[in-house]
Amino acid sequence: MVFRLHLRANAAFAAAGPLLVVVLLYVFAEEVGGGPDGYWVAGTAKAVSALMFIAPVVAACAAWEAGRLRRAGVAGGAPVRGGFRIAMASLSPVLALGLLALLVSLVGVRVGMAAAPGWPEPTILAAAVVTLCGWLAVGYALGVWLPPAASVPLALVGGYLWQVYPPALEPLWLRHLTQPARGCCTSADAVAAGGLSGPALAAVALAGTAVAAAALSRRAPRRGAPGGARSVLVTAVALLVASATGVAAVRAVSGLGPDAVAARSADELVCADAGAATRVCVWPEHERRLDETVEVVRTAVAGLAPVGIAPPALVTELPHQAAQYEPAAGGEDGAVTGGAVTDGAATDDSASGGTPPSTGSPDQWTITVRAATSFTTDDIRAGLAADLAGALLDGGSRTPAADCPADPADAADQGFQAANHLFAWLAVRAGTEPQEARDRFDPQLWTAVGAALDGDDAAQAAWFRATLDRAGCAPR
Amino acid sequence: MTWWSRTRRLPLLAACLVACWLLVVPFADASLPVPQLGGATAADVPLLLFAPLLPVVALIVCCGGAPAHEATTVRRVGARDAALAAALPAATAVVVGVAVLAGFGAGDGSGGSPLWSVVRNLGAYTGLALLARAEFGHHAATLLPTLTALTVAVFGYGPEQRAHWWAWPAAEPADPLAWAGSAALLTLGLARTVSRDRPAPR
Repeated sequence: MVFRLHLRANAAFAAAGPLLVVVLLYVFAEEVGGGPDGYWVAGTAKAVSALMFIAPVVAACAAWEAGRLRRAGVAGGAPVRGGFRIAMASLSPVLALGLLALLVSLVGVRVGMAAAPGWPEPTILAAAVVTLCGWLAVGYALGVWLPPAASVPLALVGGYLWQVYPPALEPLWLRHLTQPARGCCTSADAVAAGGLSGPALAAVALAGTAVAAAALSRRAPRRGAPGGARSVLVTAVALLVASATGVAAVRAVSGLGPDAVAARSADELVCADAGAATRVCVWPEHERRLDETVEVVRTAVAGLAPVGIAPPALVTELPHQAAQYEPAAGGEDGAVTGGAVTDGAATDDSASGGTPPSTGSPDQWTITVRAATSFTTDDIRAGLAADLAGALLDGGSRTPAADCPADPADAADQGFQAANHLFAWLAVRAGTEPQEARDRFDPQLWTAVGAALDGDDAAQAAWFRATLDRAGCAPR
Repeated sequence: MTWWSRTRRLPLLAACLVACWLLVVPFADASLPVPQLGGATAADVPLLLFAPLLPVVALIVCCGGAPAHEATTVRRVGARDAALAAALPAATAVVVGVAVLAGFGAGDGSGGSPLWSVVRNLGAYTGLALLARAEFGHHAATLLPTLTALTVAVFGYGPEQRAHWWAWPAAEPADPLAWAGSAALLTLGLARTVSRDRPAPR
C-alpha cells in the first residue's frame, strides 16, 4: 500500500502561522530581557526561551493528531506497521513545526544582534530539541487517552503553565527542569551544564511516562493485540527510563541557583596592550571595539596617573571575582590565563616624576563594552569611571575620614555625596569632556567637582584622597 | 430524558464543576506570574482566568458522547443542551454568592469580590465553546475558549498590569463591558445550541 503524508491535513499546518507570529512577537518584544549583545550563548538561550510557546503548541498538535488516529479507529483494525511508525507519520510534521519555530526564533534573535561572531550554541539547541520531543510524546499520550476536546486544551494550558510557572516556585532549581539554559546569560556568564542536562533529562522522563501511558492504552495504534507481552515490556522499560532520568534530572539541577549560569572562561578574552604596563581585554563579540576601548583606557590612564591612581595591569570585561590574569611578556594580543590579581594592593610605581603617591588603587579595572552602536565611547568611559569608583570605594585598606558625623544618617549622607563627587571627578579625569559631565551630573554636585577640577594635579590628588576618605563615612 | 441524561454523562460534568468550585473558592486571590507581550513586563494572571476552562471542557466532552442517530430522534435535545450549558454559570453564581456571603474571596474591596469573575468568565467561555462547536464541530469546540484564555494571559495586560479593554476575562470583577460582552457571548452560544437541531425552514 502506498503511504502518503497529507501535510495540509495535519494540525501543524494550521498551527504554523499563529505560532510563528507569536514567536516573532516574543523574540522582538523589548521586554524579553536585554539583548544578547553578539554573544551567541545568550542569543541561543533567548531563542530557546520561546519554547514556552512552541512546546505547548507542539503538544496540542500531537494531541490533536493522536485524536485523529483515535477517531479513525486505526487501533481497532489490524495495522501492518508498528505503533511507532504510525505515530511518527502523524507526528513528524508536528516535530518539523517545532523545529521550524525554533529556527525562526533563532533567526529573529540573530537579526536583533549587532554582530555575532561564531555560531549558535549547539548544546543549548540539542537540549531544546530533546525538550520538544518530550512534549511531542506527552501530547500524543494525552491524545490517545482523552478526546481532543479535552486533550488539546490540557496540552496547551498545561504545557504553557509548565514552562512559565516554575520560576515562581521554590526551590529555585525547579525552574531548570522545564526549560534549557533558563536565565542564561550575561557577557560574563556561560551556561551551566546542569541547566542543559536537567531539562533534557526531565523531557526524557516525560517522554518515558508518555510512552508508557500510550502503550497501556487500547486506543494507541500498534501491531498486534493490545495488552500483550510486548506492551508490558515497552511500558516497563519506559517507566524504568522515566524514573532513572527523572532522578538524574533532579540531581543535575539541584545545585543551581535562579539562573543556569557558570563563570565564562577567561581564555575567550581578546586582549591588546594600552601602554607599557596595561593590557585591555574584551570578549570576542566586542573585538570590533577593542581599539576604541584601548584608546579610552589609554586616555583614562593618562588622566588619572598624575593624581595618584596607578595604571592597572589589566582592564577587562571579566568580573573582578572571576579574573585570573598573568601579565603577558609582550606581543600584540594575548590571553588571560593563570595567576592571581592583586586586588586593592597599593602600587606606587607611578610615584616617580613628581606625581603624588598612589592611593591604594586597584591593579585591575573592569570595563563594560557593548556591540551595539548606541553604546557610545562616552558610555564605555562612563562605565570605566563607575567601575573604578566602585573598586576604589570598596578597597579594603581604606580608612574613613576622622571627622565623619556622629549621626549615622548624616554620615551616610556625607559618604554617598562624596561617592557621587568622586564618580564625577573620575569621569572627567578619565577623559569625559567637562561640558558633557556638567550636563550629565546634578548642578549642585558639579559645583564642588568643578571647583576641584580647576586646581593643579597636586591639589586634585589631595582632594581625591580627602573625598575618598569622606566617602568612607557611609556604611559598607 | 433518561437517554439524554445518560449520554450527557451528568455525573462527570457535575464532578468537574464541583472541582472547579473547590479550586476557585478557597484560592480566589491566587495568581500565576506570566511573561507579557501586551505592554506589561510581567503580570500576575489570576487563577480565575484558567479555572473556568475545566467545566467548559467537561461540558463539551460530556455532550460529545451522543450517538450520531440522535439527529433523527423525535424529541429535540438542543433546548436541553442549552439549559445544561446555562446551568454551569447559573449554579456557579449561586455558589459564588454563598461563598462571598461566607467571607470567601473578599478581594481588595475596590471592585467587588474577584470570585464573581469566575461566573463571568465561565459564561464567556461557555458561550465561545458553544459557538465553536456549532461552527467547527465538538472536537475543536474547546480550542476557542482555551486560546482566548491564553491570549488574554499573554497579551491582555498593558502598562501597570491593567487589563486591556478587550481582555474581558482579565478585567476587574465589576467591569460592565466585560460582563456585557460575556453575557452576549453566552446568549449567542445558547441561541446557536437551541437552534442546532431545529429543522431547516422550507
